[in-house]
Order: sequence, then C-alpha cells, then structure tokens
Amino acid sequence: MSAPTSTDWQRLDRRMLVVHPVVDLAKLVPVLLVIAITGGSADDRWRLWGGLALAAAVLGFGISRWFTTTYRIGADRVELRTGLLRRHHHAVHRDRIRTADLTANPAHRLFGLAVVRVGTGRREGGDDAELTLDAVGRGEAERLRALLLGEARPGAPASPLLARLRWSWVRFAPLTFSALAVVGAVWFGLLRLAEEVSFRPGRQVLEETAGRAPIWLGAAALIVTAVLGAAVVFVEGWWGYRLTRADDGGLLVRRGLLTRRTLSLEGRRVRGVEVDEPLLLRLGRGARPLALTTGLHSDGSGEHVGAVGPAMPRREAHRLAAGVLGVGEDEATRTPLQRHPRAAIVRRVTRALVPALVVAVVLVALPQAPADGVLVPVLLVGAALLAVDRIRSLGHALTGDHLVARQGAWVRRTVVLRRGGVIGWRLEQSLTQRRAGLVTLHAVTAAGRGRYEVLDVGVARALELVDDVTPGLLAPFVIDGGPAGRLVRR
Amino acid sequence: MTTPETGEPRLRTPAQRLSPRAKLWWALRSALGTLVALVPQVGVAWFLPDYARLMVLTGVLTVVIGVVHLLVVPRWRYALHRWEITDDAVHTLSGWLRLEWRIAPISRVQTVDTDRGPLQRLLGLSSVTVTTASSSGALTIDGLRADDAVALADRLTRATEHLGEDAT
Repeated sequence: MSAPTSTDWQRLDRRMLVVHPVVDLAKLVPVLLVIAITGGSADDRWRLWGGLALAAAVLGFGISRWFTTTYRIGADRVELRTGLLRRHHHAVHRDRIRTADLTANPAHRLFGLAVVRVGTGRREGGDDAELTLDAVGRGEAERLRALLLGEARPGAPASPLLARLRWSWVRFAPLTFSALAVVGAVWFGLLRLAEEVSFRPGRQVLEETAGRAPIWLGAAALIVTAVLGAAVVFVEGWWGYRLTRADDGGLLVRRGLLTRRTLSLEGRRVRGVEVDEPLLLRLGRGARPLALTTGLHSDGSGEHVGAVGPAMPRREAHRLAAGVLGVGEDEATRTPLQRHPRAAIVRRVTRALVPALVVAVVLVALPQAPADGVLVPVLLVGAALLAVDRIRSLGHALTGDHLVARQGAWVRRTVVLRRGGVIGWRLEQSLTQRRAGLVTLHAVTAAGRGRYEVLDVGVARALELVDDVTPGLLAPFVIDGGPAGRLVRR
Repeated sequence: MTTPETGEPRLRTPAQRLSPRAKLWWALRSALGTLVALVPQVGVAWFLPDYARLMVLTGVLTVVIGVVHLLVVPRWRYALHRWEITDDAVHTLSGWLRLEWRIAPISRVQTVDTDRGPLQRLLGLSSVTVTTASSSGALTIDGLRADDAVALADRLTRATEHLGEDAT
C-alpha cells in the first residue's frame, strides 16, 4: 500500500475475522470427520496430524483474508485489493456502477453483516464487471449502497411502497415450476439417504409393498412433498418481501429469510415490465411480475431474472406492473389489446392441430396400440384447447409510451416495453407467413431477453408499428403495392 | 383491420448486394457441411459391417441433398441478401426460406467488427458485425469484398464516434 492514500483504504468488518474461518472450517467438517473416525489408531497418527494441519491452514487462510483485503471508495473509483500470495487489484468507475446489491447468508446475519455486490451492468466481461465486498457491517452496507447509487441517505422520507408480502400468496407456490424441482430434490435426497444407511430393499420386499400400496398413496406422497417443499422455498425466498420505489424512479426489492437479499434497480435502467402466467399458475388465477431492466445477469436458466415479486394473484401482479412503470393499470399489462388478422388465428389452429393429427394417424395406423380409444381423443382435444388458448392470448397494442404484446399458452407472457427502450428491430417472414400475409416483428432492446416479439401481425400493421415507435427509420424503404402478403417487393 | 388487398405498403429491397464470390463461399461451406455429415456414416460402415448397406443408403441420400443444397441455396441467398446504410440505421436482409430484415439505428450501435475466417480469406471476403446493447441485437453482413468491409466498418465507426451516449 502506498503511503499517501493508505488512510483511505478500509478493511472489511472486524467480525469477518471470525466468520471467514468458521465458514471455511464448516465446509471442512466432513473431511475432518472422516479423518477423525479412521485416523484414531497409533500407526495412523500422521493422518490425525495431517487433518489438524489442514484445519490450521484453513483457519490461517480465513484469518489472512481479513488482513489482505482492503477497499476504498474514491471520488471517481471503487477499488478492492485482495489476495495473500497473488495480489489482485480491482477497480470500478463510479459512474459505471449500475447495481449495488446486498446479500447476507445465515452466518453473515448472525453477526449483523452483509455482502455488497457492486455491478457495472455489463453483460460481457464476467467477473470483472463485478466487485464484491464480503462482508461489511449491515449499517455500513446500507450506507455504501446509498452512496454508490447516489440515493438519499437512510432516514430520508419513506419511499412509496409498491407491494409487500401477503401470506395468502403461499397458495401459488406449489403452482410454479420450482415446486416440481423441489419434489425432485427431496426425493433424490431421500433416496441418497436410504442408500447411505444401506437401506436397500430387496426386490421381493419392494414388489410386496408396492403391490399392496395403492397408487393414490404414491401420488399423494408426491403432491404433499411438492406442496410442502414449495411452501418452504417460498417462505425462505420471499420472507419480508417489500418492493419500494426509489427517488429516481428505480426499484428496491427486499426479501429472504435465511439469506437476506436486497436488489436495487436503477430507474433509468427499467425498460418495461412483463407479467408471466404459466398454465398451472393461470388456472389458479395467479401471475408473476417481472421488470425488464438492462444489466441484470442471466442466472443460467434465465427464468427469474428481474423478478420483482413472487407468484401472486393476477390482479395484484398487473397492479404491481403498472406501479413499476408508474402508469395507470389500463396503460400497462391490462391495456386493451388489438386482435391479430384472421390468418394469424388460422395459423394458431393449424400449428396446434397438424402435429397432433400426424401423431394420431400414426397411433391409429400402428398395429398394436391398445390405448387408441383414450389417447387419440385426449390428444386432439388437448391440441384444440391449446389452439383456442393461443388465440385468446394473442394480441398487441401501442400506447402513448409503450409497446404491448401478449402471446402463449403454456406460458402466457404479457410484455410492456417502453418506446424509448426499443433499440432496433427484426422483421421475419417464413414461407407460410408470406402466403398468409403475416410477419413476426421483434422489438430489440437492451433489457431482459434482448428482444420481444409481436407474433403474426399483418405486414402493413408491422410497418405502422415500426414507424410509430421509431419514426423515419424505415421510411426510405416503404413503397406502395406489390403482390399481397409479401414483406419485401422484389 | 380495413386495409385493402392491394396498395398495401411494403418494403423495397436494400440497395447493396454482396460480393458475387459470396456464392462460392456458401457453396464451399455447404460442401464442407456435407462432408462432415458423411464422416460418421463412413465410420459406422467401416467398423460395423452389419450396417454398411443402410449407411450406403443414407450416404447416397446425404450426397444428393448436399449437392442440391450446394447448387440451389448459395444462388438463392445471393439473390435475396442485401444491405444498406441510411442516415439513421443499418439495414440487412437475409435468409432463404425465412426472410429476416434487421434494423440497427446508428445512434444505438456500440461496436463494429470485421472478421475473416479461413474460407473467407481464401476468397478475399470479409464479414462486418454491428452490435448494439441488446444481447440479440447484433447484425452481420457476411460475404463482403474485404476492401468494402474495411471501408464500411470505417464509415460506421466514424458515424457512431460522435454519438458518445450509452446507447442502451
């Protein structure tokens, strides 16, 4: 550390002297246990010493992290120095900072600490786009967050509350996809446990019990674990959930029971909102609100990025979405939508029914297909319902500030995108669409999934939408007439 | 919607074509693709003689499809692919079965790259890729003459230079 600036450099919270070593040691417990159990006898003493040495090393390393880690919030840069043998100096320009999020796992919370994660919102660049202070005191973390995002100090007039947790929402938890994942995890865990304690039921035992247990018992067990598991995940993830609006129009999400998460979204990064209704959730009259913002890293599945609330009643989700945009409810996801041309409706029907018909014909043609009488009608009726649902979902609208588009049956998505958030277009026309006189219009944006489509609109309408949102962009290319339905006259 | 059947607005094609050598480039890529598809079939026929007859059948089929693809698709693409730069935006039209018209406003362009693969270098061709802040907003013009590509990238870079905004 150079002398003139050393006064500015700060260490992490002193309590990390305990937390880091203890957490690291906890991860080592299984290894140490194995050593302790197997290494007791005299000639195996070196293993015991080895284990102790390992523990001491881990302890020492954990403690050293506190001494080697320093950070500095400068006038124009945030800097972090880490590393014992290999020093690492990381700096982020303050005007590049887009997010400053707080998380605290149970160990941190026990000691009143929080991790500050400073992000630049860059999509590429991986780790370099992020800087993590693990960890500082809770008060200091809040202060840093406010300082880095240029917000009002804590204690300023309370920001308006957009939504807060209602315990009745827990009923939607089992209807989301994560419930299925929980079931899988729980049963996998149980099986592993059974294997660990050498509970391997013989084939005979298995057949006897399975033969005696009625099938509904198995189904009930699955459903009960799904419901309970989903409820537990819901409580852990959304305990104390509050969504408030910051002064700059940004959003602040606080949630979490064991791991406390604070997610802040800068107002100028919000490009729109989305309300998702997966089929199961829709049947329960629920929906999930998302904010479309730039700079949020995808979490692999890309599913819950920008979630600003749990699954909640549909009305609440729509109201929350409107609140995020700061507009009236009937100007956001509840905007009255325009129907698409008849050809688009025909396309929904053919696209759902033709594959089902092909499968049905194959099933009937197969010599040995015992369940034809059940399977074929179920297949066809299912496809027809899917088509009807897709037709009912399809729609779009252009309001004063936003482009609104809705589609989908398995997951019905209603997307509201700010006009100013559109940074490009893509117009697609397949052979069948050309015959039907339709195009699929993609509005390209820096937020969320990168582009959002208006499925199967008429050619004229698509050009009208583009011209309305970005005046003059396509004007040099627009001409009159030509063979019906073609996007491009050649 | 009450738009009449004729007289509806549509788009004229963008003005610029690719280099005619792009046809050759696509043809070479098509041939390589066919070869890659043949390799596992030859492998199976060689090591598992039982399946040799089947592999001969699929192999012939692969070659027929490959040759048709090689003869038809490059010409088709060349006839369709166009690009143009207006004062406001970069436009590309591409595809063969599915037409795709991409628009990137110049004010939103973040980077302009030129890029030459081994095949393109052999033929003196180059690609220009224009990216915006969106993860799916990139726009590529393949098969330009190398000089044209450099000139184009230059012009775009200059056009975007004095728009120092965030462009998101």
